Amino acid sequence: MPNATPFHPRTQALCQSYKWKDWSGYCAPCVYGMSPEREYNAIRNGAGLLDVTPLFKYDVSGKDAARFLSRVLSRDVRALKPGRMTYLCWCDDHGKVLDDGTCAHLGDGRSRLTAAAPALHWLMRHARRYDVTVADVSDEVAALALQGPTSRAILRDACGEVVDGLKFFGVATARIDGFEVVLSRTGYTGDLGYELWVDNAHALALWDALSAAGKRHNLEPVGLDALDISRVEAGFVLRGIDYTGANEALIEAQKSSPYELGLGWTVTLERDGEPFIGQAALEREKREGSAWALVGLDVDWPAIEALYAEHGLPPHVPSAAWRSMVPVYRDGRQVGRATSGTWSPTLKKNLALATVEASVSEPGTPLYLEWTVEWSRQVVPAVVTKTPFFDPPRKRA
Amino acid sequence: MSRENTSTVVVLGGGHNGLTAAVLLAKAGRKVVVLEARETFGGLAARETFHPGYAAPGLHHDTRGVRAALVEELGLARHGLAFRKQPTKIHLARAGSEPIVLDALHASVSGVAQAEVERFAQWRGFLGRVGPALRAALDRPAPEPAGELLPLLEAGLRVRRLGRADMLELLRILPMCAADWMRDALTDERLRAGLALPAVEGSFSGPWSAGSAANLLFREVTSGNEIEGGAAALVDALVKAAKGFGAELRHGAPVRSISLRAGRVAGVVLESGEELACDSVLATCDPKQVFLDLIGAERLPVDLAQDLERVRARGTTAVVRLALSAPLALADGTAVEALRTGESLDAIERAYDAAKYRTVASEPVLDVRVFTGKPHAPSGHSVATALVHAAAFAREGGWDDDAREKLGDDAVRVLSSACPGLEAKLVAREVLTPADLSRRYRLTGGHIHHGEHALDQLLFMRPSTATARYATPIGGLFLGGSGSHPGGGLTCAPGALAAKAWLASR
Ligand SMILES: Cc1cc2nc3c(=O)[nH]c(=O)nc-3n(C[C@H](O)[C@H](O)[C@H](O)COP(=O)(O)OP(=O)(O)OC[C@H]3O[C@@H](n4cnc5c(N)ncnc54)[C@H](O)[C@@H]3O)c2cc1C
Repeated sequence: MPNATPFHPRTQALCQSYKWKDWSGYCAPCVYGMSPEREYNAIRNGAGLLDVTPLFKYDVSGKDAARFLSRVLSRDVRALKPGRMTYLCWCDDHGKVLDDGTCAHLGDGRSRLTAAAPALHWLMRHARRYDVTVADVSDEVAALALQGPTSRAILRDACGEVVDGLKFFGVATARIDGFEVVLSRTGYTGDLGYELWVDNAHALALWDALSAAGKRHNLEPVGLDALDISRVEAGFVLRGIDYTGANEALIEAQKSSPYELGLGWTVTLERDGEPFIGQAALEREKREGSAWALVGLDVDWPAIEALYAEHGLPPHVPSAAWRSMVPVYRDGRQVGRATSGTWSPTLKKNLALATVEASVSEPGTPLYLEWTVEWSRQVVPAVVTKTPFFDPPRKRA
Repeated sequence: MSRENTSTVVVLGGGHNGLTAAVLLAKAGRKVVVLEARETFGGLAARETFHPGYAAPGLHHDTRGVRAALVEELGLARHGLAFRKQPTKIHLARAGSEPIVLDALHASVSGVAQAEVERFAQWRGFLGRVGPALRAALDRPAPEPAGELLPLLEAGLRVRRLGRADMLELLRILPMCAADWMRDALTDERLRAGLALPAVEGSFSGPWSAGSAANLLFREVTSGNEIEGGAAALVDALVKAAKGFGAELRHGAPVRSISLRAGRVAGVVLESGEELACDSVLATCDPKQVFLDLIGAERLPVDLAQDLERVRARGTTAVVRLALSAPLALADGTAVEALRTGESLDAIERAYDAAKYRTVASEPVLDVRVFTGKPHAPSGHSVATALVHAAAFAREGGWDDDAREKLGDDAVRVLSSACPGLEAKLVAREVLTPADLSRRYRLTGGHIHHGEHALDQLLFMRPSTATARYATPIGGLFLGGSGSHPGGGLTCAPGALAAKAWLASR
């Protein structure tokens, strides 16, 4: 039985669809209304409010916190300043990604790590040798994502000017109605947006404050379906969908390195002091090249229309994103698989994220994606495209 | 010739295994530097004067495990090493009756009923038949089940060739406890206990622990002739041989850390601060120290660090050295060269229980060797060294002077009951608790074998699967001390196998 998050009294009252799913042991709304379109449009044109409490959160403090985190994480976070957050991943000995997440330096030598999957055991295994305390605050800290072009205006109304100074990937503490909120300019939608972290006790008050402020700024509660569409547009990989955490892989072939996931930019190979876990393997891979690459695919829409026409059907666009492994071909040979995709209402394109052989990963490379209409498996052209597909200037402005 | 061929190999630790490796590497023309922390060479086998005029030739007294073939290969005869012609007589003391007398090779016994002599001969016969197959497996790198097939097949075939009865008996015994095996084979409880004692020394186990039969078996089949002059004589010969081949031997040179660059050995740093660049280290101190202290878990691949952390090295053996003004003698005046106490398997088990529960046996079981006259003691005087079973390294409340003295008192009391009048002969004594052994000889956990001889820490799992073939996942780092296959004891085998693995890798 999944648990309820501290926002449940509100989300439950709003969720007319009764569509929920289990997200890391919590029940989370897929969609509040009948289809995710309205919620997606809120994210891109107004603002969406999403309960992201089920993320795993670990507070790391103590003299060696930064050194310890830099040993475990593939990114060197020793230089991360207080008030900054960064995106990263962490690997096993063989340089295969266990999970990706964020690390925020909250000040006073305290950092908060977020993860998609439980990481406490992994962290504790290494923490013993450092002067650090690792606290699992997953069940103590509630979190909301406020995403979309009007999110800044909402926050300004709710908690004042603090939001104006907050740069992309900045973290600050704000007060709302007398309680403290950690505010970070981050999110999983690739848009202007914020995440708010608060003690469970103040969760409902936070929801209410944001809802009230949002009335004037087109705020909608949004579910995971809308998030999924926007994260594909933003080109963000999802653990368990676009890659398998190395600790859950059943066979070697299911594991991926950061380079293979397009996360090479988060890896700090050049560093002094202790190597990070997996460093030797990643140095080797960097030198020798990776076997796979994660790419964006722009899937040819007219070709899909034609396939439907052959069956005498109108072209069908699913309103939600899909997540299943679909073969990708080049010259009749399978060169990889798409792992998730969506119709992008903003770009009016059919997008997918795919893992393909490194040799066919250059943007512009023409490939084919399997597409099934009725019972008939066909292929449609798809062109390798740089991600993010959608990257509005407001995200960083 | 590549640059690597001409560079120096640093052998870390000048115990008998380090010296053995140094001899073989220097003999093969490599430039070798041995770095030994202490002021003398030999490690646990070093001669030590513990009271003016009284010296013990090493902590161990049992030199049966030294491999004759290696002595030959190392050319030690040229440096004065000789095997004893007459095996030491071991007295199994018995309260109120005649002792049983065993020879050091456990090949003959007297002082038991005739039917027991027969049973003993039958037991020896089995060991004699399975010995060659087991020795062959123990004196080469242990084949890994997931590794090359050929060595595995060879080992398997050798066991198959024993014939059905012996093969099945061997397989039956391997996971057993020594006590059950002894009770199957013999009826005299005193004899059973006397034979089983060496198998549990230094292993966190008693005769009723699973796997202790394998320890007894491996020990018995690898025993050969003893060395004239004890362990120290072996060390003397090794030092001469190493120097003879041009190895540089440095004492008083404790190593603080092994430096790595890009996952490979780059050099060593001494405690003095001196740095020595080298691309290869053959370490013979205990593996936990090598990886967890000298390199540091945070610099190691995670799995490797975890494997080494899991290696169990909980010392259970203490040492009491006695300086005596006369030979050690039984009640009837018979002078003894070697003596074991512990009248029953249960007595040994109870002594172990104390260590298991992190205390010290108040009725310890002793394994004693006596060295009489020159060069060990003034003539007519003697030195007795007792391995004391069992005392926990991790004694609850820690070790202090009181605990040390109590251990010494208990050991002397137990020995006195077998050798009345002992106290009157006592000139001096030295007590080394497992904690003392740990400090003095740099042994993790005070463990005399650099890691327990447990079924899961032997063969291809010693000290861990990734490091069991002497080479390690750290480029240029080799292991070659008692922590490596075939394990602890005065054998020269791990050092020799490691040197050969090093040479084969270049
Ligand atoms: C009390 C006792 C009784 C024993 N009885 C017997 C017996 O009866 N029969 C038997 O066969 N075996 C016996 N053993 C076991 C046997 O002594 C050992 O297994 C064997 O001597 C170990 O040899 P080695 O060369 O592997 O290690 P060691 O002799 O331990 O040599 C390692 C050397 O490395 C040095 N060293 C460690 N750390 C560093 C550092 N950081 N820098 C530089 N140098 C360092 C040490 O000082 C030491 O000299 C006994 C051991 C003990 C302690």
